[in-house]
Amino acid sequence: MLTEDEFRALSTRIVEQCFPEQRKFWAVNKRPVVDQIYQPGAVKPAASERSGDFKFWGELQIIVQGAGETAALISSLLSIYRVFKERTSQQTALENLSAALSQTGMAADQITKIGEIVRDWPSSKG
Amino acid sequence: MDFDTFVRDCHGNIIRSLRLSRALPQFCIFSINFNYGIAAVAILLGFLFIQGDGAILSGMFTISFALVLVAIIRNLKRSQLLLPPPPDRLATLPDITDDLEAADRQLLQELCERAGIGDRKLRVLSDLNSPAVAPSITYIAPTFFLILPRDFFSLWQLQPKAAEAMIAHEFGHILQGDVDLYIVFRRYMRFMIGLFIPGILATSVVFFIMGVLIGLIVHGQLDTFTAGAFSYVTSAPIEGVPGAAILNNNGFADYMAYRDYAFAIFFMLILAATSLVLTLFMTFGLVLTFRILNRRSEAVCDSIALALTADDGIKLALSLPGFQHPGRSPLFAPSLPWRREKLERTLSRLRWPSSVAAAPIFVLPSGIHNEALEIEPAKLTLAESLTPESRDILKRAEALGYSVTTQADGTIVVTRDGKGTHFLRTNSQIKLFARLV
Repeated sequence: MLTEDEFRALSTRIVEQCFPEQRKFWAVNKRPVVDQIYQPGAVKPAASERSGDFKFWGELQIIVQGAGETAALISSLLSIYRVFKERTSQQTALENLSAALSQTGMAADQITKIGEIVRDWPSSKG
Repeated sequence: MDFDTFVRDCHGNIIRSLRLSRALPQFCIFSINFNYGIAAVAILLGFLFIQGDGAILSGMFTISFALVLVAIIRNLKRSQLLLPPPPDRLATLPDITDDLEAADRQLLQELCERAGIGDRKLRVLSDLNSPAVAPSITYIAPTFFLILPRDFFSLWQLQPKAAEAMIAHEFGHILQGDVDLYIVFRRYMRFMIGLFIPGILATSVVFFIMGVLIGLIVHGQLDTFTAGAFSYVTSAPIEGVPGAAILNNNGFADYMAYRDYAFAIFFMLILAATSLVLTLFMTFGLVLTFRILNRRSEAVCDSIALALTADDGIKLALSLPGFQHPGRSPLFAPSLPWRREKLERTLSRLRWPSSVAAAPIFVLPSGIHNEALEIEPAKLTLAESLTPESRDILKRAEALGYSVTTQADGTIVVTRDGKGTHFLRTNSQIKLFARLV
């Protein structure tokens, strides 16, 4: 299982290599997305004008129903999270990931690339 | 037209829009009070006509009046007019102001300063669920909230000029006081749909039924009051002409003397119908006004974006279909081609000076945005502190998946997808909530 920090680093690498057009999105939304994945339903806004903690945003899963590359990115990250969470063998995990990504309508070469990054992680770090 | 003149024109438009954004709320409040007045007169006259005929009639009308009140109060609750607004989207969106890159923060600050609102707070929120591309803006004193939807970020990265122009366009809405206009319009429409029209209908139906019952109980037969108020049509003394009696010399007094209950009910229905027609007429007028204002406002905001960014990124933005907010009614929102045409006309007349980027743009008088917000229902406060039992209920609600938040005024908001939202201000309300869920 990846820690939040590891997941953030892996996600950043995937964004850089597979979703370069989402760099700005990721730079700004990294915190809420990762928070939401690791603490579903309990993300805390950084500096809200209102008092107290908020449970918000429903399930991140809703987001992946949207079209577009940003949705595909979030979908990929969720799939990767699940793969690491399931603790299956690496081969099974990668097959699961590939199957999940292909459901998002992602191009085959992009799926392959993401698979390679995940397979090589953490040795590909840095 | 040189750039300075263009900026002065924009400023003039902003001032005019601000005046409208103050006048429209006042008009709405007047309309609401006027209609309430008519409805109150209808009910009062009904009592006057019926008064004095013993306990049965008094009792009947007390019951009918109570039923009408219950109907109104139910609608009032449903339309949330007497309650604080539901936890708006703002509370559910992550604040990403501090996550923005330094250059983007600086850009926003510069745009704010050029718009003359640099001294006010601006928070940036991310809306990952929104299918829109274009950002939106809202204002809750003393802070502006710029809401950036999921797909806006790609645009910002790939077409920064267009994205900046979209943001500048949103600042235009703040400059013009449009947020106040939208709040008032939404509130008015919610009032009409949620309360007034059902209230009038409920009054009419209840009086109709009571007319039939009075006929049965008081007179022991239905002939006088057959079909309730509508019996007046057949029992009118002058050749069956509905309402004609009121036109003859002593018609009104005669009816008072004869205590023609059917007429009383009929009269009330006429008043209720008049009120309804007036209400619909005023609503139509308001919708039309809002449409004109909204279309004008979008065009002015495009010009403001032109002035604030001092380049024609807004032209590029208007060529992107995503600039149109999905789900926004075409009745109010002007189409992109219409806005492009307006902008082209402005651009064709505009001469750009070389030093345009440094131009000081708008300086607004302070305190302009607060007026319309003051008409929001007075916020209620939690008059008592939470009892241990209430705390326990709220904890249990959280365990059941409810989201429990506390608003600044002390109101506790308990909400859950598909289960609605509860606004709790007293311990007894919290207990009631526990029973309900």
